[in-house]
Amino acid sequence: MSEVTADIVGTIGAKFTLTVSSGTVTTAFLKVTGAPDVQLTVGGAGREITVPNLPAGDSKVRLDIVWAPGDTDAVIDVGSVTSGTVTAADPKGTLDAGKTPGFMELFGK
Amino acid sequence: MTMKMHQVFFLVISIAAVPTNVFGQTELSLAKNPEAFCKDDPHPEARAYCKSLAALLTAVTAEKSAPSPVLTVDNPHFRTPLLRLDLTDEEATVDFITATSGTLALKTAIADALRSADQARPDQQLGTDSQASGTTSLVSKAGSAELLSLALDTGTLTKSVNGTTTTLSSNADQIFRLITGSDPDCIINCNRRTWFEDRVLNPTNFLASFDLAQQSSKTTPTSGQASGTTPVPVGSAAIPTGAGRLSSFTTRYQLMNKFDPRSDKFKAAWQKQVTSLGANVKTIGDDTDAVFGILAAHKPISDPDKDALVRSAEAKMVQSAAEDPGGKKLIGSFEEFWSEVTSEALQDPKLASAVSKVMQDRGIYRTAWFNAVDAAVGNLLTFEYSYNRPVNQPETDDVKFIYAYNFGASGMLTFNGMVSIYGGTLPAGASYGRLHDGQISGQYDRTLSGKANSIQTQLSLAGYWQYQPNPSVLNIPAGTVAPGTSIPLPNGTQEFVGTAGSLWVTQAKITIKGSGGINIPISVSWSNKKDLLQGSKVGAQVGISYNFSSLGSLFGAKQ
Repeated sequence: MSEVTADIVGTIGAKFTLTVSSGTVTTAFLKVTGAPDVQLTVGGAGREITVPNLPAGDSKVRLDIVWAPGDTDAVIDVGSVTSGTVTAADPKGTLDAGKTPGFMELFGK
Repeated sequence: MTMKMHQVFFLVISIAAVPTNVFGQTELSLAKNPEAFCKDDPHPEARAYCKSLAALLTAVTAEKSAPSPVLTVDNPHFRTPLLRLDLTDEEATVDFITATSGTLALKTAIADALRSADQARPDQQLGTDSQASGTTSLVSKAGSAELLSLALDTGTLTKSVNGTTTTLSSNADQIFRLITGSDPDCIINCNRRTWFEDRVLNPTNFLASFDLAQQSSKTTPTSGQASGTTPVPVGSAAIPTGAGRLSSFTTRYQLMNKFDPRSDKFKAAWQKQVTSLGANVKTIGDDTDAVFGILAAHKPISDPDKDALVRSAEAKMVQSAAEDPGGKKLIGSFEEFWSEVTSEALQDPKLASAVSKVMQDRGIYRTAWFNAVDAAVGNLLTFEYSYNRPVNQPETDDVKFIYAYNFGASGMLTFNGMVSIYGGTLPAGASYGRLHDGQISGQYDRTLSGKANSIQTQLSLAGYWQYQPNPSVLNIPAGTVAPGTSIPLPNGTQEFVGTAGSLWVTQAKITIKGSGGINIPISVSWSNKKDLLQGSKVGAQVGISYNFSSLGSLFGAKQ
């Protein structure tokens, strides 16, 4: 995992929201190797997850998702950026409809 | 040549059940079905990761036709599928669990968990209906067995003949998935679900009831009087051909209220259900983390140099996809990577119980998810057709509509409306018409013990009204002699018995539901008469049923 493979790349310490285009995220956790998981705030009817402080290097967000009938694969994107600079990969990452948990790869530089 | 109604019905079902390729449909090409090369692969890991393998193959194939193709792992279009195929990454754990559940998961534990969840449903019809000579169900429920159920009921509600009936019921889609090797317990967006499965097989259920107290018989010509001094001309006699006889066959189709998942109304209803499912998906997530924790403790995932292995494997998969558009080389490269990454971890005894736990979580979530969809969609409407063979009475074709309204914790209301007509050709000179009777009934069910208990009790209160324009028709069996004489009645004689008009029945029932799939219904009933007898009657009924729901994994079904 690296900057090349990450779904989201941003500056260290950036505060921003991640968005998913489909499914309903009920809980989300920021996972950094060697550190305890941090529960993230979920809003926007389960489509917006707030990352308060982007860690340096590789990290992951685990998304516990409830999929509705007819839901399609979700596209991962960046919502609002409160501080720092954050961009989504091109092409944007996706989450498979029906699968839970889903994961997003983050990279802070 | 005329066909009876049930024969026409079976013909329609048979035609509908014929696989589409029988009609000349050719095998789908990879372009139309990108997962065709891996979805039926004998390796469970290839099937579990099929979507990602197909995504990589599609992306590589598309890249090859670019003016300056970049066939390396750094191509951003290969990024997402390669991430999901990186077996050393946590993101791949979801499919790892699916791939290994067939060999690692404790299948009986999974089945037990699913069955326990299924037992909480108040809407399942596992036994036969009120028309049988052995039944505990005055009102038919809208739902059916998930996979297979076997019920034994004794005691009568509307019939004069008091018997014992065993009923086998099944869901067409679950049986289809079992036969075709698909997992009947897959969750949400199951692979290979088709329009035919969703709209025809899944809502269709079958029930066959056998009257154990009755012998099946066959009329055969006699060859002469064996004893007696007075000649008695008996041309034919009924001989027993077996103990127990098919008393009814029922097909039911669940007509769920039509809904559009994109409609605002459904979205609003679904959002109310999401909260209740949140705990389920968090448990799945936590237990998936636990599986990855075990994997991460083993080489090569624990190895600091694992990135070199991953990069090499990814490069090989991209190269294989480029060399073989059919995908077989890609599967081969993935299999090599799979062996390298999982061979040590699969020896860890802790892994099996961790994978089993996730599979249990998924099974429970699956049940909860379908219940949530039902709740969001609204009320259930089921259409039912039954072909009945009552003892010594003409065959009937019964058409029933079942409507259920679920109040959730406050219980469930079920209403039935039915018309019963005499089947076949009416005898010459029949003093009765085609209509046998019409019925309306209702039932209220409520769990008394709470759905969390391992042993649950359910209270049911039911009322039933049936109207017959004519008294019941009794077939006089061949060989019967006129009372007080030795004169045999001609074969095919029918007599009216009982009275026309209203038949009322009320019933109170307690059903004890064990977590292992056992249900024991015990009921008392009162009726103002029976179909052949006059005068009110108080009766008792008892039954036992076993719900084999979700035992499909025991038959080795694929994930």
